[in-house]
Amino acid sequence: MIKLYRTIDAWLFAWGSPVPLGLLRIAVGFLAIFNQLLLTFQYREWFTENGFTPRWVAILWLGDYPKLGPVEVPRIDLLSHVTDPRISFAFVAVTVVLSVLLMLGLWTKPVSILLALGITTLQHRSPAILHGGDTVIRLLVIYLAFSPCGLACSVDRLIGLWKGKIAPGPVVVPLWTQRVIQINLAIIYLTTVWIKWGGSQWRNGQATWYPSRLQEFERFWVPEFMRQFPMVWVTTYGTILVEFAMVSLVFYRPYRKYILAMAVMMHLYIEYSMNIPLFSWLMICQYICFYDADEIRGWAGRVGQRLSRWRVQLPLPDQKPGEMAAIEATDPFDLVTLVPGDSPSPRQLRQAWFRSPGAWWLPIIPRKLKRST
Amino acid sequence: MTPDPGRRTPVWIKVLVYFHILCVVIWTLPVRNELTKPNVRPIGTDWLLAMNLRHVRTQPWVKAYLFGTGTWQYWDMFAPNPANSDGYGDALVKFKNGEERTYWYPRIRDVPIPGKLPLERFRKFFERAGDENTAYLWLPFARVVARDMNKDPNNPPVLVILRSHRQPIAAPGKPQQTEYTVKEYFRYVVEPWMLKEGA
Repeated sequence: MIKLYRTIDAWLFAWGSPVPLGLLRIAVGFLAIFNQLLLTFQYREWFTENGFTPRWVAILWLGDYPKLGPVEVPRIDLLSHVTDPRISFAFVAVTVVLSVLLMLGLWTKPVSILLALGITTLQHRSPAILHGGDTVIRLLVIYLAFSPCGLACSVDRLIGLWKGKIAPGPVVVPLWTQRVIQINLAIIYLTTVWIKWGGSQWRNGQATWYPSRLQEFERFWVPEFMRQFPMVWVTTYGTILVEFAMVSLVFYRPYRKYILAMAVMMHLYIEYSMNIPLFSWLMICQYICFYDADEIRGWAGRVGQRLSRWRVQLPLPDQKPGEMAAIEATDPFDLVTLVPGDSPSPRQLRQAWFRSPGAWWLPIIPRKLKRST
Repeated sequence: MTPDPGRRTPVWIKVLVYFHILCVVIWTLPVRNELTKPNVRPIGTDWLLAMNLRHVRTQPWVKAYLFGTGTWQYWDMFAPNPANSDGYGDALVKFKNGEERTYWYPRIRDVPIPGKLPLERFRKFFERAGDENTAYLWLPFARVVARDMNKDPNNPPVLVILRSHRQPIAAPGKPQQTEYTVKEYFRYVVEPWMLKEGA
């Protein structure tokens, strides 16, 4: 028992690179922009007193504050006394800006905390409109706020490298937030598959017959055989198997990529065939947490090898270590090699732009290009 | 991952993480209401669910922690059984001059593909607002309808009737009903003050 505890503890509180968290931050930020933008266009319906869900609806929906003895524990709700629609609009619009900053990784720590507060507030302000994707996005921004996700794949890191405040090379951070995201993901599948197994239609293999016929969920065209037996059995039992595997076998490294591939296929089919906003993408983007930075770097290296015939050299004058480290940090496939020399020709610059986001910086750095044109 | 025995996570963080995971598991384990009855003897894994429901989930610290931190969650997508009835809502509006008009509430089926995603929240809201357990959603729903339909000050809406249209999905091998059953579930006599600007 103690050995088991030590194994779990060592895994849960391991240290490593924040690259997976950085990539997750970009994906969550991107999806949050989309989600919050939609809410901004509909703020009048969902966040004002003349909309479908005035304040008192939220109070009735969520009930009294939970109590710890005589103490009431309040919910996170910065709009709790706000009835002015202009403030509601501004609040939702600010969450869009914060989502953009989170995706870029600029001022990541304060931004992620503010976005977590903002999204949680909006969900407590209007809980009657929440779907599964909302819950996932709220949990992810809260977890990211506790994580060192700004230390990788972020503008914060590039600025630090550029100014020489951060040393080039791998960063080592505690990975418990990454592990908590993995565990929470497994809990989602565990409880879902457990509840499903208590439902007669999942047991008798007919469950997916029904959602495929709900016209309110229809999205893109689906071939008729996918809605008929035996495909109904395949998709019903396949869902149960994949969800159970996402709780169990996915943690066994030799099986991991196959289980994740099946889960991605399941979610992509749901995303294609049903109108369920963002949920599938949010679930898929969390799978990055099942990989360590070394594996991601290894994958990027292999892709870079395959693309090696596209490598180009980019001559740059006046190379400073920090600046070069910042540019190279945005070249994941190592397709652009910086060499000392005169400024690059427009053709060389164009080639670099198509190969590395690091080259996108160069036009805004006049010193590097002063002799290039 | 680079294991580094020199690096240790503070104990208080470890305690918090284990506590968080425990609370999430307690709160998200399936809730089967029949298991809350003391005379029901659970079998197999239901024993764990019954213990959780009767003794653990009811502890005030679980709810206080999850709702206080915003990490509350429940997961029941298409479970225990997927919905087996298609439905949408609209409203019948009667005006001062006796005229009747139908208020169009977004029906996802009829919306072009690019518009489906943004309007999904309307479907979700109707899913809840068409339920008798959340009847308090009906009044604000009807008020929005009345405001939206108040175009002519000389002929304001006087009555809003919320309606649901439902069609059960036939089980495999059974004939599919083609008609939707219409149900009027809320009548709202429009309060004139509510139609005024800034109300």
